[in-house]
Amino acid sequence: MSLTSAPTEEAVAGAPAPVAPGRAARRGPRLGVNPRGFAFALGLLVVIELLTATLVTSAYVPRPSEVGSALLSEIGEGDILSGLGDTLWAYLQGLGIAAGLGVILGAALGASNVAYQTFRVVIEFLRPLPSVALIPFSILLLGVGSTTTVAMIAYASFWPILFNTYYGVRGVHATSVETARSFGVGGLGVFFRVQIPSAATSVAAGVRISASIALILVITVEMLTRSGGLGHYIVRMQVAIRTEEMYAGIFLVGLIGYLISLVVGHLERRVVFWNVDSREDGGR
Amino acid sequence: MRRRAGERHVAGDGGDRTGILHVEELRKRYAPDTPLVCDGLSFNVNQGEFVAIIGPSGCGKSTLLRMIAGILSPTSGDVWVGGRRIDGPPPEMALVFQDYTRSLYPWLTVERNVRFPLAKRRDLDKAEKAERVAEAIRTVGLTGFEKYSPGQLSGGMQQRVAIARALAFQPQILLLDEPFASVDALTKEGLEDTLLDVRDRLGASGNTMLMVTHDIDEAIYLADRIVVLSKPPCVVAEELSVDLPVPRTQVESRSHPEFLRIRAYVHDVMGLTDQRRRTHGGPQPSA
Repeated sequence: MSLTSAPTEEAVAGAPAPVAPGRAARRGPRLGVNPRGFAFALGLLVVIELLTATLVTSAYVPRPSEVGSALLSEIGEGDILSGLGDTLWAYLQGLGIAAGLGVILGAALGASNVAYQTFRVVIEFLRPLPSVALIPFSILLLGVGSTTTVAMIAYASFWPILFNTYYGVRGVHATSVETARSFGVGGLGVFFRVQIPSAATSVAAGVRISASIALILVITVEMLTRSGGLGHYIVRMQVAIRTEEMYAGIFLVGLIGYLISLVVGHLERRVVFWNVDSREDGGR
Repeated sequence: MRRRAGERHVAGDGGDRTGILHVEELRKRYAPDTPLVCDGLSFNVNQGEFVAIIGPSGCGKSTLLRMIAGILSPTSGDVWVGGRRIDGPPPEMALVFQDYTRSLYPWLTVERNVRFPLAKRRDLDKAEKAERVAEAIRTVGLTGFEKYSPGQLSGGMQQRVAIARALAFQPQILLLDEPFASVDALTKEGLEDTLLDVRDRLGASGNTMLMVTHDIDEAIYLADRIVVLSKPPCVVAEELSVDLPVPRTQVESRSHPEFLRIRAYVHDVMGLTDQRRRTHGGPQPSA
């Protein structure tokens, strides 16, 4: 159970915190509907509107209202929406592949010391390699297009899920395992009935981290490879000096990120519900 | 050898494997070149008996119980259950751990936690499993909490769930590893009484219990017999019967002269075991 190698920061942040026995009530915002927060955001928009209307008069800093109307007209024309569709589809595929592979391989590494020792050197070499450095290689191998985009997202989001699963499986408390064993549950039973569910909180934390990494990657790769999607849209608008549309694209990316974190947080509370108390205590 | 004390007390029933549980010359060393944790432990538990094992903290009590439960292999020595030498967790025993927060599975409801040891059993049909689970939950007084998550219950209730789970397994011997060490004093009294009730209800086939504790009062209140372990590496320092009248109740039993006599005696044994043997007669163990 001891973690000999230094765990990654993600893994430490994601490691299952001790579950506080049911004292904290199920309180707190459920789906992040936060009137005060929205009021502040709206106020900020008004301030920026006033500033850009008066003091800041650069052509490259459009007023929020102009960005808003550009967004609406672009949505009407469908250009930005098809970009959004491409981006979301690549995002989901990449994150899905990363989650599938990361959980399976992480669990396998956690289950077998031999496997861990075998793969460790390669893993430790590949993990710190910035995934964007692999984009040229990926373009040569897979060509420009959604395959490269998906592959890069999957590659970058794979590591947090892999490591969190590994440490989750490894970090199962000895008593949890001994309990099952004392009832005559065998090795495979302990693995599937105790270690995997115990690791779920840690896996969920890995997925949460990867969900934001995947968004960074999808936009970056689309910008670099000019292969469609919102990233490409933003670059196209920049080159055309259509700053309102460019900001509209950026705003949309921000909105996606916000919604993703809401959805992931909601799913996490549903799927690994027993971890809610510790997360509230931990104040992540 | 340091086994003198152990030998003396085991001599009477050494080699007697007819008891439901017989522990023979158990030794445990976790790794080569580390000190022994247990050094030749032997004792017997008879059918229907409640035996408490007490010893100073760190003396290897939990190690001993894990070896008896078959989840830890002894370096040498044997554990016999019902005349059979065990080589792994035997189906005749269930173990209740001190740390209920780890021992219960937070992703399962109370009901499913209790069902856990039965879930993959092919010899029981669904209705039998459901009946056993319901019965076990009723026995510990948690009817109505079946659908709760362990995290929604208090510590004492969680430990009741762990006891119910062990009961659903229907062991012949219930092993308890400091089961009430993590709950407050009042909750502890309630749990102790629940355990006595459970024992009364179980009848002759399943009321054998072996508990490890560092709480002398608890051991006297619950047990028929007490096995006192020495400082590490642990051996049996003393065995004594608890001749408190039954039924036992918290107030009366704990103020009974016999209770106080044993209490003083065990304190003495645990504090100055070796000196006491040389210099001081003390009351004789009646086991």
